[in-house]
Amino acid sequence: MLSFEVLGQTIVNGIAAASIYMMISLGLALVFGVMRVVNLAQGEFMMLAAFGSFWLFTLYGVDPYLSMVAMIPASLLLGYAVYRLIIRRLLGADDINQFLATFGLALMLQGIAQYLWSADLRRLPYVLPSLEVGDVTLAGVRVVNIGVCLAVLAFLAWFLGWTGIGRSVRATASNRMGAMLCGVDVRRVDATTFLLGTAISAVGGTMLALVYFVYPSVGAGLIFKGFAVVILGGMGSIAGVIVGSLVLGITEAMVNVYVSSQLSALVAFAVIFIVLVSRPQGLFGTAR
Amino acid sequence: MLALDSVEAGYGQAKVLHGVSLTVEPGEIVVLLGANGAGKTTTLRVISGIIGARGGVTFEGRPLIGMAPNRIVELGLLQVPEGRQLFADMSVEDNLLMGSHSARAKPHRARALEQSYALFPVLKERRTQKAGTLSGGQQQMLAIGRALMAQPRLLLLDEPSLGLAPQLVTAVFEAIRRSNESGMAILLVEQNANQALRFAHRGYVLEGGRVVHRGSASELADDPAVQRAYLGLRAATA
Amino acid sequence: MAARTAFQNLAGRLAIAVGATALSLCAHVAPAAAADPIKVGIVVPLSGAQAGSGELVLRGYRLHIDEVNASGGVAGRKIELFTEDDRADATTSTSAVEKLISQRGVVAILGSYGSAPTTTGSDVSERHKIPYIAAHAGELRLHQRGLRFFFNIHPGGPPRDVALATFFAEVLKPKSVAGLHSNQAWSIEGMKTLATALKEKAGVEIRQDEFPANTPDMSGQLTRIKAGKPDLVSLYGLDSDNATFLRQALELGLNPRHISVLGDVRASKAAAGLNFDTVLMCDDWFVGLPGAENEKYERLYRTKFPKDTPDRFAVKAYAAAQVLVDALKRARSIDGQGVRDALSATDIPTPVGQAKFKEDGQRLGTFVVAQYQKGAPVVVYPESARTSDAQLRNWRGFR
Ligand SMILES: Nc1ncnc2c1ncn2[C@@H]1O[C@H](COP(=O)(O)OP(=O)(O)OP(=O)(O)O)[C@@H](O)[C@H]1O
Ligand SMILES: [Mg+2]
Repeated sequence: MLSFEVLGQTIVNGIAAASIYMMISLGLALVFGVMRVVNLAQGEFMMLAAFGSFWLFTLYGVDPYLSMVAMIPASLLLGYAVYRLIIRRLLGADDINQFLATFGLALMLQGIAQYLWSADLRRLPYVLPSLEVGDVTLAGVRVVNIGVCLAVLAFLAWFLGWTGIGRSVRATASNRMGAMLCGVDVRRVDATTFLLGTAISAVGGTMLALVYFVYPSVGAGLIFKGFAVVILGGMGSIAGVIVGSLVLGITEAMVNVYVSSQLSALVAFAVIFIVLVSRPQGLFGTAR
Repeated sequence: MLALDSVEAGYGQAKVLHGVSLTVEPGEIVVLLGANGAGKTTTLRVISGIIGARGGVTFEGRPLIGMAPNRIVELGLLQVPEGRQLFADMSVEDNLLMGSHSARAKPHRARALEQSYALFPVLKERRTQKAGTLSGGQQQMLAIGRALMAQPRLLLLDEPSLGLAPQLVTAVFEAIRRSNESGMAILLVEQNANQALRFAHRGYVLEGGRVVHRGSASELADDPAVQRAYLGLRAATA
Repeated sequence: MAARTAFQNLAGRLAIAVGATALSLCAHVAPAAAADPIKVGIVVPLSGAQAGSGELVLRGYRLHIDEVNASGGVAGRKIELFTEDDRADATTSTSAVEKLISQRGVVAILGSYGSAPTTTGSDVSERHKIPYIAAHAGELRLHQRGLRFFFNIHPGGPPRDVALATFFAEVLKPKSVAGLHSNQAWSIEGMKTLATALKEKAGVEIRQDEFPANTPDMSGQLTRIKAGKPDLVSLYGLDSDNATFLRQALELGLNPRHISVLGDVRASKAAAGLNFDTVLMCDDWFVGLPGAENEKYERLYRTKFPKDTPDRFAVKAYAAAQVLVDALKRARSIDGQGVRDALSATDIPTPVGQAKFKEDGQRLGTFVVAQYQKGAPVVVYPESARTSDAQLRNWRGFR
């Protein structure tokens, strides 16, 4: 059972899951890093984009990779409305108020999705040929998902590392007051960051639709994994999100294959619990 | 250039400034003295637009109250804040570059960077290092360098000598003096009254959110009341 | 106590009449029949995750009751339906049944979707001595409670597991079998029974693996199964699990000679886009199942719902309604006890087969194995119901 084939396949499965976890956690971490707001509705952006791509394919036969791009402007519109109406007002608000407001938004978006499309589990019936590498089979859509994830990471690295606005985003995350005193319009940085997170989650939504079910509460299940990743990686750290996603995805896959699928669902809980008890700054964060 | 007229401000319910009036003229170095909690930092926060206030604050005739901090920076009014407020996990050079974020300063970025490095050569040596790993003195230089990157016309400094070794304090004051010589007006908050008054033109003493003394640097240095406050401060911090 | 005045009496009656009218409007039932209708309660999930299935169950119940009412009702009395939404939730089901019995005064309950709400709902109706007829609850322990007013159209797991094991042993003759079941009680029990029966009949062990019901991802389990190179994979899961299994088996290159699932593999919306040909399925009913009763039912269904294919949710509910109406016709008295006694003597044909209840209230049913061939299910086992031979070749995957 402990053959190299199974191990290799398991790691690939874990990385494929991690690529989705990254899409939700990046949004969470960016928004939290800059605004100190935990957006519990991040998963719903993913869910709506997943439905968007699903329906575009089902009704009009639009290729999901085209929808993946089309969902970005759509998500920006929604994201901007949410930012203006809700998120902007949560800066500096009590944790509990932030939670209530964004959780309420999450429930509302789920409710709308359920009203429009019912709670049925659906799958986007799209498939790419699998690749055989030795004894390991790589599902086509998952390989492309990993590629899309890498592309998103590359974009993010370029944006944050090499553009002026990206530098302002990092500066605002690092020291909001300092950024204000340098003449940064922090509200614009907030909006930019929120929309960036929204767009990444929208891309993740289509990735999700290609490998998971599409249903109204799919995002609610994922946000929990997002928390585990962000807590594991240290709140608000991008590198931490990457490592955290890989650790969670691969650990879950390993536990699933070598221990028990029942326990695999508990990995995220265990991660949150252990990290919060033993290292509240996360594995990769530094104490503030 | 800068004029505060009966400014009242505070945090939530707690009122801190009870009618502060002061002015800074072009090319001047003005020092703002006062004991802990007198409201010096609060005054600078009001000027930079970080907190709201009542009364009048004008910069070259333009009212600043209600203006967003980034627009105030665009006018050439910069602050080296208390606690430095650096971007600890960004490189020294990125910190400096953030200083020239404003549209006003961006075109002169390359030259300003050179000037900052010339003023503080140690920053050039450590340009790729994370700001948070610098020593206290180096961090203060970086904070000043970052503000200078914006080509300020008026620079507010909040206790730049705090926590520095004496020879570093001299270096920092020297940098401030040199900036002033190139035409920059300066409003300096200091507890180190003795040293500050030696190179300032004028000064104000703040107590309980009110200006209690004002005058030229030499008048203040000779004023027995200021001396008492200064000595008392000495005793309190010793 | 002072005598009530005529005025008070009149006012009381009026209030009740107005209330009842309002309630009957709320419940969306047809205008009450003039002469004393027979009240029947329906409890189904109409909101929440199971709402889709619940709607179909309700459709099945209504289809038959409407038919009966249109042809004059039971001994001249119309049947009046009262419907409650229980969200397939155990607690909600308790209060829903309580309300139907104590407030509406129904003489029988047509039951919910799933074992959990059925368990609690039937406990309540037992207490009130009102019969509860379930259409979609398969857990063994439902019938180990010694209830006397509980009847179930679902024949339970063991007959299905044994039928499947026999089919495997006689027709497929596999050498290496992998069993994949969900973490639900019915699924675990069922796989155990299947394994025991197959061991007995063919001497082959089943290597078992488990997954959480409704999981979106079985890649771990399938990786493990693939490494064991089985020639038959038998899946015990929900509709969505069937879809996930096929989809990921395809992605991961798991291609055993035979794939067997429970229920109609096309039932889940998540299975859209898959080609099911050669996939084997086990259930007590499939669309197109031969037999006069089912042909009649499917004709009726297709006239009423021309856009929909008959499904297993509605048909079992339809059978439950048939059984109830038959019992109402035979009952000595139209009350809980009378209807219950009539139900226990049920022996009528329905689209899902003959309806006859065991002592514990469960229907004695037979299961069939069907296979998708050229896009439609055909029955391949047992001999008595067979419409086509099983095609023994590998599944091809997507269209
Ligand atoms: N962010 C804040 N929220 C609430 N109260 C504050 C805040 N900052 C300062 N204060 C209070 O306002 C008063 C004036 O503070 P301020 O920082 O302006 O004094 P200061 O003159 O700069 O003192 P120091 O020499 O200690 O820096 C103090 O009583 C202080 O406790
Ligand atoms: Mg201060």
